[in-house]
Amino acid sequence: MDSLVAVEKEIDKALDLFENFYDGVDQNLNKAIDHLVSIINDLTKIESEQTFKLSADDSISMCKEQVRELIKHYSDKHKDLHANISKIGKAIDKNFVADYGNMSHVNLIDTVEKKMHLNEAICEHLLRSGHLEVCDTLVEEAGLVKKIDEDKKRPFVQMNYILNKLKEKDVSPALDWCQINCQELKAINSNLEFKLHRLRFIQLIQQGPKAQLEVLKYSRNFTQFANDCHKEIQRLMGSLIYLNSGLENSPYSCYLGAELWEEIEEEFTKNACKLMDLPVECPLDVCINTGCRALPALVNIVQVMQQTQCGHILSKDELPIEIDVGQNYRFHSVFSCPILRQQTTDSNPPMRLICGHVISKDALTKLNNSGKNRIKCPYCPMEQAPGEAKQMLF
Amino acid sequence: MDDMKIIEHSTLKVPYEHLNKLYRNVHKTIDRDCSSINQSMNQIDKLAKSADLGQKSELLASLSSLVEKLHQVKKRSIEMRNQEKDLIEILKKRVNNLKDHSSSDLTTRKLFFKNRLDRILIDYFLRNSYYLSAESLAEKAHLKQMTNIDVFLIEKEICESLESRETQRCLNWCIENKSKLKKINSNLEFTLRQQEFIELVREQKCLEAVHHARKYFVNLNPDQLVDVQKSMVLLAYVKCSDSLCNQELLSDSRWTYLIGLFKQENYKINQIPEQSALETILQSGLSALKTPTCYQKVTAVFNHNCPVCNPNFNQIAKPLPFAYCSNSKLIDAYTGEAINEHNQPMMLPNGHVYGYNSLVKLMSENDGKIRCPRSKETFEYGEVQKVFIL
Repeated sequence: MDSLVAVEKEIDKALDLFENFYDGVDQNLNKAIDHLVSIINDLTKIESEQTFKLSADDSISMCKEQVRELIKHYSDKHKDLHANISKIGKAIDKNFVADYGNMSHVNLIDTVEKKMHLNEAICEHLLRSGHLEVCDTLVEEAGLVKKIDEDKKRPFVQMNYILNKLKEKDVSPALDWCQINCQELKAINSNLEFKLHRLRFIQLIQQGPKAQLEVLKYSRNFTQFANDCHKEIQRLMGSLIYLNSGLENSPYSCYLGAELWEEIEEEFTKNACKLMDLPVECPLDVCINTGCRALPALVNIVQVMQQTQCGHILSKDELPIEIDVGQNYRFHSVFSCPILRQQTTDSNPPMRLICGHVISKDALTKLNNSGKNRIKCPYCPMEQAPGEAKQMLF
Repeated sequence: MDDMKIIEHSTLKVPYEHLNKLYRNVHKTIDRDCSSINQSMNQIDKLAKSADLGQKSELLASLSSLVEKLHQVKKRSIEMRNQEKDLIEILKKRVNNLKDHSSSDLTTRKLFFKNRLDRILIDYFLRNSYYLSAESLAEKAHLKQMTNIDVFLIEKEICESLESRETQRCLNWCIENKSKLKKINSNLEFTLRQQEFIELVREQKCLEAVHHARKYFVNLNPDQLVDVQKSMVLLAYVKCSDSLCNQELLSDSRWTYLIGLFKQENYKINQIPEQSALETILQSGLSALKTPTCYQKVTAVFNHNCPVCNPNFNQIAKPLPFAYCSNSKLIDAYTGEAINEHNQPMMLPNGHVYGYNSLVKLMSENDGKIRCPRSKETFEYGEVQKVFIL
């Protein structure tokens, strides 16, 4: 934040100085023009030779001084402004890192196929975020016509239509969709339909006493959810007491919050993606978020490693530091052997010893180097034969 | 250091360079105007010194023309004032926009990140010549002011002219940016002149080619001299045939090289980084998410949500390093929950491991028996063995 503040300071200073400069220039020019006009007027009136010569000489010399000052001010002061402009540039360079801190090593996208893969991933992102026309344009420009066809786009078109309607607080398309996909939604234990009915119910209550009958009729929609959500239904029915006076000053005012509508959009997107067998969050989003999180630490390391000439971090097998991606972005188990401190792989799987402790297969082999066919667990006194260890799969 | 400092340098530097360029042009105009006013004033002064009534009308005429000149200077200065002010305002707007990165309001922050991704995509589109997509996205997301589309549109024009084998536009651009190109020791202008020479020889206009060489191949450094010598060899051939040593000089790839060189110099001059932000961020992100499991065919646990398992990113991330993990971090393959001291790992007889919570869930779904979600075998609870992860 303070980096922005520093740059903004220089920008504001420059704006002020420019304003003052040009005001001054304007003033000087106006004065000079006025003076010259008055000289012209005076000289035009003069008929006598003598007066003319004197007048001309006097007034022109005065004017000359003034014009000289004007020119000097115009040129010199503008030159001075350059210092302020370069200060802005220096502030930017000081507070921001140029060239991504030399993070870029080789080109990530170096073949035509990789470019196509990336463009496909971008198209998926554009479809999910509702930019359908942009996706069409990209498909044309990047030559992806074969890969992204109408079938792939159709579910997104519908999804975006429903989302746009939800943004306008109209739940009916969403409800229709729920009813069509009723079975699948039940299979994933979704309570999306109930939440949509709840929002509509609250909308009707907000219409006041004249909607009383409609509200009661609508509450029949809750019957199917009686078993799962009975507590919430009780609350909703309780809020009817405030039909006359409005919900704003009631204990049920939380139902009026905008978060409910944002939550329903997210809930719908999650459910729709699950039904379409898509990942919950767009892969491009996940990568970019993680990347932005990882960049500061990695850029630091690159700067340090540059001094030691160890080669670039992206050319190695493993990153040199641990990046905490957060629990949400942990998609696979990673087992790190406590003895050899290496990640286990297919060829070096984790093995469970009889006592329950887990080490990697390589570590197991190393413990058995005396060839005795009897190994002792590194963590407890339990002994066993190497063959008794069982391969595990996380 | 936070990610904004690393990613947004060019967002601010590019309009700054525009401002610098404008400033220089404005100053040139000011100098011109000042010297012209000075000239007029001196003329009037001379007239006034030797004036008599007969030259009155001449003097008055010169005075009027000076007044006219000052009016024009005033008009120009108002124009330049607005131009300079506009560019500074653009800088200010961008700084304000970037402030949302650290906003205390979650919605504002979310919107900022969404816009940032859109900006990164627009930059990627522009670099790869998907101009229509870039403009479309910039419009839909209301981001036109935050992107550097104008720089790329100029680039587009020149690239198109180079593609149609025309060098004039690019040469004009070189002349316009002469001082900056000199600062970075650019070879672009020389390479363009060399290509013109080759084209003249190709059309068998050898005399013209020699004139061209005399005019432009001056003040060469040693490397350029070698290049010129190689090109001169072409003159020795009566007709440019497919003989081996001519191939390289006559091939179309030289034009592709020229386009690439131009783009490179254009980025340097405008303070635009050479690699796109998208690739840089993706490199870091994919690497931080990449685990050996994503690439194993045998025991692959294909997690739907993992971007690296996504077929597109799987290919892209192949050459990248794996994420480094000092301590084991386990997640349950059935529910995705974390496996830790609150959700202890349990191993089934077939070697598959699940968290205790998953086993409870599996038992409730299958009459007290555990059905392994991956191998479909059924086990009793008594067969499960505890596992200790340190």
